[in-house]
Amino acid sequence: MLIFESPAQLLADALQLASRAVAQRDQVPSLTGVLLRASEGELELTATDGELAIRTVVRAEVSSQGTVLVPARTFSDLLRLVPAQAEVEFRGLEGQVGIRFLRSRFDLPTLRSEEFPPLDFTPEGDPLLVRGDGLKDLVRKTIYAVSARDDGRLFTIGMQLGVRDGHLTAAATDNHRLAWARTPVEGAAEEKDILVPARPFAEIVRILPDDEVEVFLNASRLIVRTSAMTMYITAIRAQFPDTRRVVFDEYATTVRFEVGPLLQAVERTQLVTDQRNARLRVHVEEEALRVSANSSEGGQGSEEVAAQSTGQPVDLVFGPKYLIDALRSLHGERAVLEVMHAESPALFRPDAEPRDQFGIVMPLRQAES
Amino acid sequence: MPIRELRAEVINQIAAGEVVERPASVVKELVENSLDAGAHRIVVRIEAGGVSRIEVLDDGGGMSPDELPLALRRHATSKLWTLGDLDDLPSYGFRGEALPAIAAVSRLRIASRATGSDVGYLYDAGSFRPVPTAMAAGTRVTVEDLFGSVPARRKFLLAPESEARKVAAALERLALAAPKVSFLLEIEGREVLRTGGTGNLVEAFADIFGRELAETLQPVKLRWPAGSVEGLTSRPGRDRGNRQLQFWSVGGRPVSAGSLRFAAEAAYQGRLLKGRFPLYCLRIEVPIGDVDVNVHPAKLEVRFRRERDVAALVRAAVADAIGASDPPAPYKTAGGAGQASADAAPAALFLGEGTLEYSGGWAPREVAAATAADPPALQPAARGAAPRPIGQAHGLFLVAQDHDALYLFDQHAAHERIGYERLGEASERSAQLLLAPVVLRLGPEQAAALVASLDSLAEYGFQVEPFGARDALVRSVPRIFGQAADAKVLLEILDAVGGVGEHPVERLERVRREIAACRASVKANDRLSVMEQAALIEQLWRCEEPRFCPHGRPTFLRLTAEEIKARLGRR
Repeated sequence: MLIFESPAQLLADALQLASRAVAQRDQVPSLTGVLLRASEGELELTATDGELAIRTVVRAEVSSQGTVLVPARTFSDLLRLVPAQAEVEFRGLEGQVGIRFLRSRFDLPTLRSEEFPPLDFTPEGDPLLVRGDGLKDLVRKTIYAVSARDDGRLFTIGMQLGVRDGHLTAAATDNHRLAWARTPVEGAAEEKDILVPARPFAEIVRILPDDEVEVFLNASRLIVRTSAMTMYITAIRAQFPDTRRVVFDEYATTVRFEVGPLLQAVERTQLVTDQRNARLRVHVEEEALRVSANSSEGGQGSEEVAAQSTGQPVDLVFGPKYLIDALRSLHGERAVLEVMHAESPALFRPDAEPRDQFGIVMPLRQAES
Repeated sequence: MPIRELRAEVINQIAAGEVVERPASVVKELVENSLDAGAHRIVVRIEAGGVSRIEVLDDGGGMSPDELPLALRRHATSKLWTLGDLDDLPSYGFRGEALPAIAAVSRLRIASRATGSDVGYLYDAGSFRPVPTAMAAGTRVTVEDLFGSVPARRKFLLAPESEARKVAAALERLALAAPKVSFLLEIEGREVLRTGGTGNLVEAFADIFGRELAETLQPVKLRWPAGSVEGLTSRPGRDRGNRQLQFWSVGGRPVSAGSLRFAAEAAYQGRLLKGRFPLYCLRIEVPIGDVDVNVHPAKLEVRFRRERDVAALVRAAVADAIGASDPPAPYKTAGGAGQASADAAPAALFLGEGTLEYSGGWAPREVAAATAADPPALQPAARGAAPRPIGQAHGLFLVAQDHDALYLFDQHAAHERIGYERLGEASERSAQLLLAPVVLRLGPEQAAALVASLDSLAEYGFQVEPFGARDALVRSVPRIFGQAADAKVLLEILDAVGGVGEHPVERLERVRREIAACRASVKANDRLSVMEQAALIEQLWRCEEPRFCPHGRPTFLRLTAEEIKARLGRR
């Protein structure tokens, strides 16, 4: 038997937080629930889908300690609709829970708590201290390069997180483009890497506060801890490609340009590409980047954007979507494009030092002439 | 136990196990002998499912009294002299196994009068010598008490009716393989099958399965220097739920053709729903040396020396037949009045099996006409005006009419077809370069195929290098509808090299195109204005293939005014 009382708003917020880790599908019924454990003066809420796990603690007036597994969907939906200030009383019995607030009363069936997997949220080693908004920024700059679907090579749905030179780095690739970014971190003693599923990671980063959080890169999982909650993601066992192999020290062509005008030119020009086989040509000239496309159904378009280039002139062909994704993710107004030749990785980065971000887009093969 | 040579009867009984499985196989063997003897007319009579009596009577060349006892010896045959002859054998039988095998498990009698002789002879297997008898020219073989001496085999026979059905099925296959021969089958004294032996396959098919079905078939005809594929195949939309009515013959011999089946079905790409099958009757002629019929004693399976070439030709022949097929008449031919009655035929309705079946009469039409001249090619421009919309029904269908019919269009399916054709084939292919090459492990056959097809792979957007003996290094992948394909498609391509199916990249292109067409199409409960309805129907009417959506579902039903009148009792 478990009995506690808590303000509705507090409970609803905590439930919503934990619910982000609840399984989307119901193959394993216990994973569709949130485990509530009431102990002296506080209530602990835990949920997991087997890959991602979240635990959060709220204060509560506990009059009888105990554990119960409640179906996440119904509970969080119900609590969200309870007037915020109302005090909710909760009584968990075998197989059901009673919820009372104001003059209402609900009895809801529960799930079997003994089927909920035992979870260990204890981290190993010292934490890295990193700002929550820094993590959000990392995700924003890299998530676009994650593959939409799992093609069997697990690294394409993952995000590689690493500690290097006082920074936390993030990298993602679907093998057609790659995105990399970093944010300062404190407490980094040694270099290490971990590959985690990108979408669940983005999910937990989204709910972090902006100020400092603790991050642990343990061998088999990533743990993130704030004052209110602890979360972990199980690592993917796969080899992430070595990003150093696609980044060079010196490039044959370097172009400096303003991101906004080029992005707009690309967005306009892609409208006239053939929707079945969209190809966009970027011609690098000494004083300009010329963006052009033509197709029998869409017509043709050509735009020039001011730029300063050094090195060889080059003619690149891109899938417009990849180009747009890479440009949109760039921080700052001025950027650099660097490339060895027409069929080598094209590197985009902000025109600023130190280098905290880059995106790589593989061009399309030039048509045989 | 000491080792001994088997006695002749035992050898024959073992051989009988392979050749003579049931009454139907006896009939098949005997009829094939008759065909080899040049018969024009073959009569088969069976009693008690063929167990108590089978009689096969023909008007072929016959045998002399000296030949009769020899015919019953194992490996005695008139058809083969040396092993070399096996390579160019024009006849049905050659092993000399059938008669002795049958005789080993039954009471067998042969009566035969050779051409040019005045008198026939009757020979009873096991008797001393043939005795003269009065009969017409030809041969009559009577098999009685089949498996009487092999009770074990008899136990495995089905009920007499079922065995009789199998006999009939065997004879159907033979009759379709030899349309020049007139067949008559009597079961328990009742005539169940009779073909005219006119040499016209449509007639033979009509004799067996009825004229209605025969009239829905399209002639298939493709000749190449070393052979031909000919026959009949069903029109798109006239498919069936199983493969029972698929007949193959090679060199006039009914066979089961294994992989060729897929080639024929591939020709229906996009015109056939999953789980539906065309019906057809196809006859393949290739140089005798290119076929191996000696795979199985019952000779049902054949092998071709260049199976893939034959398969590709079969696919082309069938595709050609249904592409140019007289479509179920939403089309108005430029032909005019003469064609009008054919157009009005209820064949126009897309009534599959098991759905509504039209019970009215068919517009009389000479069957021969269907095969004599190919129907005029029906280009979109040659079709008449599109039906005018009357309105939208149930949020799903458009109702429309023209001067002699009422139409129900499936708005989604119709729009899908329009979108699919508008998207067209990929104009040029592009290749997405990979950041890091993908290494794929190949099987030995895949590795060999890779080396042989590097050029064509590049054409599809795969830049691949062999890497060691067993791996492929993929540097670029095809980009289809703006989306890069999975490198693993390469493995599928290598498996399919030289095959008859759709190229995997083309299949991906088609599927993505189907999805794109589907997404852009009107859905159920999308309300369409009258202008939109008219435009939709008009655009569909101008499509290359207006009758089916890209997935093979029909886009509309056509109900002729004649038929509506008939159904409402207004004649």
